[in-house]
Amino acid sequence: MSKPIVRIHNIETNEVIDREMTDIEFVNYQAKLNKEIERQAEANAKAQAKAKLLERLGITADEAKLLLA
Amino acid sequence: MAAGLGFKDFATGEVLTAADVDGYLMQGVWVFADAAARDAAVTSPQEGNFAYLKDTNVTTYYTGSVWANLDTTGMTNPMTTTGDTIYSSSGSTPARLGIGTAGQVLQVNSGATAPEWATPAGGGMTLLSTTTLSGATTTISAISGSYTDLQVVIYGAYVSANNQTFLVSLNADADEHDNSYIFNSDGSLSAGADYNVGNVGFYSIDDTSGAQALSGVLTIYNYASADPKNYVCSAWMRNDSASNNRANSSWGRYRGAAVSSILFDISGATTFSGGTVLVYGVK
Repeated sequence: MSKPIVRIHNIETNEVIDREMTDIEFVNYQAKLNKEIERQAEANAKAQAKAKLLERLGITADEAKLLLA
Repeated sequence: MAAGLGFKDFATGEVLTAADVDGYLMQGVWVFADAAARDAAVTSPQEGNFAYLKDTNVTTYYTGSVWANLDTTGMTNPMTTTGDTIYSSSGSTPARLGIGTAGQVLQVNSGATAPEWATPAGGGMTLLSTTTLSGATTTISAISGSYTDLQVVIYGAYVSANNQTFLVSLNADADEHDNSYIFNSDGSLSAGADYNVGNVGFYSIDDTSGAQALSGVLTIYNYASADPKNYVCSAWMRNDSASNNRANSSWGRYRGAAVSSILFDISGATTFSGGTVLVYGVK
């Protein structure tokens, strides 16, 4: 399986290289993606919890903002 | 003496009048023993009359009010090398100023007595690079350490999938960083997410067409120093159809090494579809 392409622009020589990620870069890349999946899951869970709370209180998000202002 | 009449081409058989003689033929350079002889002979000089004085070997001309000496000495050329310039030194003596070195500017010396070439003390921005964003990441490397600050301008950035975060890292260093803080457009403050590497500037990017592209300016102060003073200020704006233009700014701190590369990254498994990055060195 080919790895994602990255661009390197050496501005001292003005050389632009488009190449596949190295093994180390690919490991870091996958770690970043996993972290992003975790972040999105956490954000979704928070959004769902917030929606449930608003539903239980019987108010809208704007009304909640008004209460906290 | 009559005033000079200029030039006339006489025709064959034409009568030469006294006015013709005085106005044309007598308008050469008259030769006198000295100024006294000239003034005695020419009692009513006219502007443009010329007289040569044998005692001083000077040619004089009448300005309309006085006799003035015609300067025939000229100036000795002091220049010796390509790029030299001439200026007036003490006593209005022509002097040579040799060409400076590349990038120098002309200024007045500390004694305010002469011009000199000097290296600019500071100020100004120099465009170091123009880079098109591409691939999963784009790195700008080999940044010169010859400037005081860096200013990085990003515009027209968009990606091939929605709901992404645009990340900027200095030296792609995973350890030496502090998290960013975002000052949102509504005035609220939120801590920036720690995106694995030393991100100091980031913003949401949600555009696969370029119509809602992201723009931003990143300023890295004291970037060539390794001490913990590499403060970074970023300001971002995104053209968002749902909430018009969204803007915010963030501050971060990078520490540990001089900044020699900047990595542009995206949070998800997508690639840059477009965008341009300009890096300026600021003195």
